[in-house]
Amino acid sequence: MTSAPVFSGTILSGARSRRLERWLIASASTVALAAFFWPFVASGSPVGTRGWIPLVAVAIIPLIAVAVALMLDRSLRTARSVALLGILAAVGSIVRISTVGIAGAETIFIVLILVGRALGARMGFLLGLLIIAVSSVVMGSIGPWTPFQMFAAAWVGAGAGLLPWHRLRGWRELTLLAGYGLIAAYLFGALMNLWFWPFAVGADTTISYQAGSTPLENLGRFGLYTLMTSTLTWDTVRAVTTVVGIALVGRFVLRALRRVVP
Amino acid sequence: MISSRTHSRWAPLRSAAWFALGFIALRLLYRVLFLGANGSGLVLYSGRPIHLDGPFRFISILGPVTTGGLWSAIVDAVPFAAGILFIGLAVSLVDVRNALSRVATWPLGRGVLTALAIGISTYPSLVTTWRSMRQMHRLRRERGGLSVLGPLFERTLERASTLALSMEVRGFGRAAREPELDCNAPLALDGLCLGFNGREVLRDGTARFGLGELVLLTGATGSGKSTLLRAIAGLHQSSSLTSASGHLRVGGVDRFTTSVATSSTFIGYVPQNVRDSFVASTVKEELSFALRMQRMPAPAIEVRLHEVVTTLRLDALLNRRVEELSSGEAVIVALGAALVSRPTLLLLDEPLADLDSDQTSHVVALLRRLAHTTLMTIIIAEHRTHAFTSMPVKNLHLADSRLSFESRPVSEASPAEPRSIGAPAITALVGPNGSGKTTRLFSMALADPAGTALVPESLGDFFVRDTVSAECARSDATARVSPGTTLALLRDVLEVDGSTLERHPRDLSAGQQLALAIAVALAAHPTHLLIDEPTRGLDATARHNLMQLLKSVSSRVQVTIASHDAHFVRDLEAIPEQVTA
Repeated sequence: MTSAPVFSGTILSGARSRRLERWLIASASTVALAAFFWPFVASGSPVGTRGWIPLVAVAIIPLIAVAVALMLDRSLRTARSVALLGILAAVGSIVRISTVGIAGAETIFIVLILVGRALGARMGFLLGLLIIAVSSVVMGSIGPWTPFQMFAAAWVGAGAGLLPWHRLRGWRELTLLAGYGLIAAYLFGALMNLWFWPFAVGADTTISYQAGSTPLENLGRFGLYTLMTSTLTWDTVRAVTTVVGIALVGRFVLRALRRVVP
Repeated sequence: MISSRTHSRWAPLRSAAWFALGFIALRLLYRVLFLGANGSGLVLYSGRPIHLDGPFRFISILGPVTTGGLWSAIVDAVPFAAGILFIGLAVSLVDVRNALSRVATWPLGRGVLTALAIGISTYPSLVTTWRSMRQMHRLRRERGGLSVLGPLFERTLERASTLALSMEVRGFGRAAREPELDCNAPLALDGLCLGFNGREVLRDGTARFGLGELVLLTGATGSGKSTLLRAIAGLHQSSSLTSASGHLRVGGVDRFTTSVATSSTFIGYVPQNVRDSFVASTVKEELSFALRMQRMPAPAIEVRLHEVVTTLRLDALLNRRVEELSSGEAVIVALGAALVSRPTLLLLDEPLADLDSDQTSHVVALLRRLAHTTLMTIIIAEHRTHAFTSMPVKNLHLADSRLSFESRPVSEASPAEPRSIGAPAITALVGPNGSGKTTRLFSMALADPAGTALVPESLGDFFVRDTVSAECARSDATARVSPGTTLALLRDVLEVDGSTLERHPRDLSAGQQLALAIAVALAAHPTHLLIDEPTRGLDATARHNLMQLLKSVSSRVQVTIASHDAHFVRDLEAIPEQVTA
């Protein structure tokens, strides 16, 4: 080559809009996270407002999901990201739907983590939102939990994209991803328990949510609840599925993804 | 693509029904496996469940199965299955793929909605690709089943990428107002260097193109003609495998900083594998896609459509589905889809390879007329230069990474060697586009899968490994021949260097892919070799080599080809067999 390359495999795009977008995802995620943590927020708030907080938390999160999807929409400027997102959402939903019913297994983590790693945090985030939305529509299992699932899955995908050591390849990269998958599976389980915990257990047990207690006390109760009901059981199965899945198909899927998108 | 399969509009519903049934079956399986099929009714199996330990202690395996348990499993799965069926029905009724062009210009939610539309329209095409891949695997004596899933995923991603680029070329993502490009300076290269996958394709290319010029771009197979055209169209930048430096100006602006969508009304681009570039599901929608992206009002679209349909004689195809088109018809439709925008610069990548003689002369005359009357600048990458002999064309030749204007087309003709006497004849299926040559070859191959080897016209689903060397090794292994056989056969036709061996088969040029596929087919030492369009993408040398190879193998292998290439059929001294619809 005679002169310096004009470009090397990158499409120029506005750095400012990227920053704006990152800020959008971060702030929307913070609000969504607050909605997840409502049991703790609620216990610290004035007595008169407590009855409303669960309702607000459950109502606000679908709105945030829609808002985020619409705002991120602007960032889907290239047809390639649009098409990949669509096709991966289709593939991910098929994978999810055809493995529903295997005890506790949640196969979309495999897809989300690998895609997040190969295509970046933004794609991982959007894909998480879309896979849950599409597969829930197809399976007819839409409920108040769907937006919470959407966000939790989106974070799993985005987190994989934010992992360091970008140059890592081969089995080392797979180990990193599997390790992340392990942690993500447990965190996902705890998060999904968190917002539903007050409704799930009912009152008057030692692990029940108590609106009057301090946040710390409630955290302890919640810890015990999540450990007993899911960490040792469902979440472990999910973690094992994820690790095994990444080990099995990871190398191939990453290579196929990177072939299409550098 | 297998043309024998008819594509009805209910195909999505059918695949959804299969998917729903599969879903119910899976649920039943899970229930039986994980102690969920216990209940009232007749006891079908009364084993003791196995309880797991440790973190899995809530899981039990097997256990009693009763009719009541099975029934409740089915009842449980039915709402899900109904959901799947409903989506299938919706996709059958509302053509999602066609809705794409409408959604894509909405101001809000455009990206996500388009992604959803593409996602939903993927379901049926996943099934089609899966079928086609299984068929290819059978032809190649590969195991079917789950081993198809890997290549299927890879191919699906590639499709997404190709589809996306094709949408961009035709204006997806255009702003309501885009800068006007200068029609008086269609194209200029100045010290342009292009690289692909670490290999230098073009060094210091300098050329200027004027209005109404008809340029014939020639060069050996794999010399980089397609890469150059893709760079001009703005697609070269979309891959990390590529590099570029120097100046490339399109309509007076820098190509490397101008988006593909911005130049979409200025450049018309017809790629090599036109089938993969189709964005809509019917010919009519395909033709109007670019106009919809420009937010043109419906009456104006009708006028433009009428214009293109008349010039290209597309009336009979207008309401056909794109999957039903023969390869020649597909090229004409893709040409129409590029012409609707009335581009200033038209780029064609081997448009004649799939056309019969009648269509060839029609298209060539049309291109000449367009250049002459509308001052369209047209660049055609083509090996079949003889079709242009009677016309005032500029000859641009690409060899050893150098571009040069020649006074006449670089000689593409090679002397035909006399046939050895007594060798069995080669049969050539000939006939106009759409007469069913491909279908005939497929039915011959499927009738005797053990003895025949088929090289299909569309090689997208043919390869099973991700490097050329792995593909050759795999081919040796399945054919149970000594290692190196396939590679040696490939080298009989084509020069192959080390870097080519490490490339993905689908990253090769069309001609190289074909040579590889023929080598794979021959390595399986079939008694009957079938090749669909054996000369597409091949330069004169490779053509000549292939002819030698076919002639030499025809003494021990029966060879049947389907071809539009009358010169090749004649030089091969093949016995023509007319196929009529």
